[in-house]
Amino acid sequence: MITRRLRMYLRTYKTIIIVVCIVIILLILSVIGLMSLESFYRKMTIATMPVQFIMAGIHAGIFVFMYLTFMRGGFAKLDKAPIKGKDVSIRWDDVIGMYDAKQEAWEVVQLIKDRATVTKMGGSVVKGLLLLGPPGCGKTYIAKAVATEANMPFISMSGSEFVEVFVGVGASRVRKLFKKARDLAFGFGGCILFIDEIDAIGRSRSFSFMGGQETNSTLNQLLAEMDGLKGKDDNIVVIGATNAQETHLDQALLRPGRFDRKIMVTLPSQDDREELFKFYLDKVKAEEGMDLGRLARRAVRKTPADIANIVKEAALIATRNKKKAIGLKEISEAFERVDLGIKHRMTVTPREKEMTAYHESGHLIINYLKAPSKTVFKASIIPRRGTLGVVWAPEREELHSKSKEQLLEDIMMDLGGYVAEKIRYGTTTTGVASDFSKAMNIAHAMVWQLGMGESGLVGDYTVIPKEQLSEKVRQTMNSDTGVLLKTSLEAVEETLTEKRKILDRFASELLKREELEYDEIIAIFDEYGFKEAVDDNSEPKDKSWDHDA
Amino acid sequence: MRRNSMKNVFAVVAAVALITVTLLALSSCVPSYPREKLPEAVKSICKIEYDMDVETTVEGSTMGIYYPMKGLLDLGLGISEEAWDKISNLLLIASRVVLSTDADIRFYCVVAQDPRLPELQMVIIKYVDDIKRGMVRNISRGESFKRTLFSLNLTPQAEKERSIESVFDKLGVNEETKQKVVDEFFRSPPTKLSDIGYWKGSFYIKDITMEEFIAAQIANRVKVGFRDDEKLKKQFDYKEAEGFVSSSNGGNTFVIQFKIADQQEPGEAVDLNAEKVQALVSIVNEVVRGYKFRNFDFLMLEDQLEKVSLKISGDDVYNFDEGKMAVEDIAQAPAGYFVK
Repeated sequence: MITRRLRMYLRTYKTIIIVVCIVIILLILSVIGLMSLESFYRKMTIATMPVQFIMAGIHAGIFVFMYLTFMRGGFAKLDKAPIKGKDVSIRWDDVIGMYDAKQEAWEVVQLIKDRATVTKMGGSVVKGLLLLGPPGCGKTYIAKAVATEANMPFISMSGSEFVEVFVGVGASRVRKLFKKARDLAFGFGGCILFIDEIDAIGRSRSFSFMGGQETNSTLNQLLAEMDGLKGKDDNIVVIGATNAQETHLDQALLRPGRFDRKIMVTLPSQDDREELFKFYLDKVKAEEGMDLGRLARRAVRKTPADIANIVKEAALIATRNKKKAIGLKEISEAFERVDLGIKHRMTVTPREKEMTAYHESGHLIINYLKAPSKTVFKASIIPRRGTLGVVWAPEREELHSKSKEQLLEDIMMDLGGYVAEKIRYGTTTTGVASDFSKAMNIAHAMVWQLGMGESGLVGDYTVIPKEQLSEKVRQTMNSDTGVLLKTSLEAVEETLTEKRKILDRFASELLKREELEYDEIIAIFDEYGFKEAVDDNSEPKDKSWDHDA
Repeated sequence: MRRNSMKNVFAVVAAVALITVTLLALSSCVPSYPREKLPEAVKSICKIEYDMDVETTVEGSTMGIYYPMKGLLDLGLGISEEAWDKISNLLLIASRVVLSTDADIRFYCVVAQDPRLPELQMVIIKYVDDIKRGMVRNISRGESFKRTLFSLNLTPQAEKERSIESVFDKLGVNEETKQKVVDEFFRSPPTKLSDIGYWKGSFYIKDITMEEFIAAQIANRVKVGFRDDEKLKKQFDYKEAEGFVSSSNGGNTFVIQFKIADQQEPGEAVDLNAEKVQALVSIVNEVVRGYKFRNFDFLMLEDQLEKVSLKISGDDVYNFDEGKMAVEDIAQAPAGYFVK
């Protein structure tokens, strides 16, 4: 092993060793040369040496400046220091949730570790692992955990580090990266290459004369290097990570033999979020007995990075409020800060404020009574991010598709503000613009794309150019869209007129307190005998297919 | 891993560089031509590198090299081209040796004679500091040339002995007695720069002083100036000039004796005496300033043709180029020198 390590060092630092040897030889020759000079000339040469050193330093400085300024640190320079697996220090247990992803990755770790057995059995060794999923879900974390568990050198690079304006530079960097990985694999028995944001070089190649050759050549080199591993006995595993859709990546990159395994690292589930809150809250001082399930419900569609950020923000808020431990209030404020932005003390006229209070109350009541898939966590009339007020109602749980009824609920929710203003004042404000835009978009999509109009026209009509659609079809579509909006509007008007007292109450509470939290909202509805509409989607509505039932 | 290795590499290179510099520094302390081996060193270099046989001697801080060279003089009694090449090589060797020795050599003097005609000799005297300054371009090549004393003259000892011998011949003194008397009374070390030479196996050399060298250089520059300068050449007829130092009258005096005749056309109203004095003082000023030499009290200009002299204080000569004083003001000449 020592001989192998020595050979590895010789291979890795070949250039440096040669340069050092040359320098030493030149120095020895210089001494011999100087010694052969007569003493006067020798003295003169030595006397001018300091000046020569200074001049050499100045020249070197100018050269380095030019090099760094104009060549961006060298065309194909690759200064990536490998990290030893054990130094990454992210254990498998530190990866919370993501059980499927972990399971797949664990298999890969086992394969890397037990390469000899796999090869003996004639099995093919995994060459690449592609981690796909939205940002902040822990792709890098999984890669680091793989490196720690496999206990191998780990080289991490970002896809964008290969991208240069000069053609051939990216390809050269890929070559150097793999050469380094091969050297390390030779010395340490294996190496993990992690390329983050691989879509920067791995997106589908374009074969035009209008540019893109640099990205193409970088990708070609990556493909060649990954394929090239087959013929050699190097235990190199490439882990790629990307936020992009799999379809955006080049097909050649995804085929078996390159990235053999594809692991989807998705948003955490309710249980995962609960675990994540527990994990991050354990790292800070938090009050005992917090309802983590409720926090997890509130954090629908939040990534692990978001949850870490929320806890971090909550800690900052608690410090600012001179509290000894983080409580629900701080976490709620942190949620708000992350999701809604910082409060904005804008000067608002009393009339404007009152109208905003009614507008938001309209949204709130419709949301509470008509949208069972959402939970109203907060209503506020404090301006934020350019809006005068907000009702914050995230989805109860991840919904991957929506029914017609749910879409109608969304429309009704958007129209709630408008109707409330109209009922109370007989007039409306510009505050409805974004609500209408959202409602119209949903209604339009329902009719034009999803076949949910009352006329019964089915199909995605947006794929057909408008000029190819008959006037009649267009009229029908537009009429259907109008009907959807009108029906929804009537339903909202009916509800709010009927619940006028509650509307007035919420508006007055909002004017009084400016913000209403979940508990306060529930309490007020309770006063009027209304329970929150709940639809947990846990069971199918029609069970006729279940013959056992 | 890489950073540590890089650090190690730099440490190795730095250590090697340090050792090298230390070795160089120590080695630079050792002279290439130690004091005690100086004459032999010159001889051996001349022999090995240029196949020239020379004789060398050291007198005080002056090193003398005698080089007998067949074909030194051509038929017109000029120096042949081949001879110039050899003399140049000899000067180069002498310069190399005096620069790389620990001996306190301030001047070197090369005497070359044609063995067929030893009564004629060429003498070249160089100041070691001028060589160093020329090498580091502290003085120009032309100035370096001007600072070298060249002379082609009759061998002084030969001249001296010839007149004695003619007297003895007239008296009928036999050869043995003649040589004995000459050895005893007429062969003595030189006292002046112009006495330097080589005659009958003996090197006549003296320890050259800076004052002597400067005085001789002034005379040399007067010769070159009055012969080469177009204006002066037109106005004056240079015949000869000699410079030496006189330490009588309680101070050092540069004495410049010259024979420079006026060539003024009739009717011209230019004051040539003033022009001459101006030119001479300028030359002296240039030389003493060039060496920053202040160790003289007076300058005596002796016109051998007119039999008049002019004595100027050393400070006035030194500051002459600042233009604060006119020639008339600094001269303490007998009345009527400037105006005939």
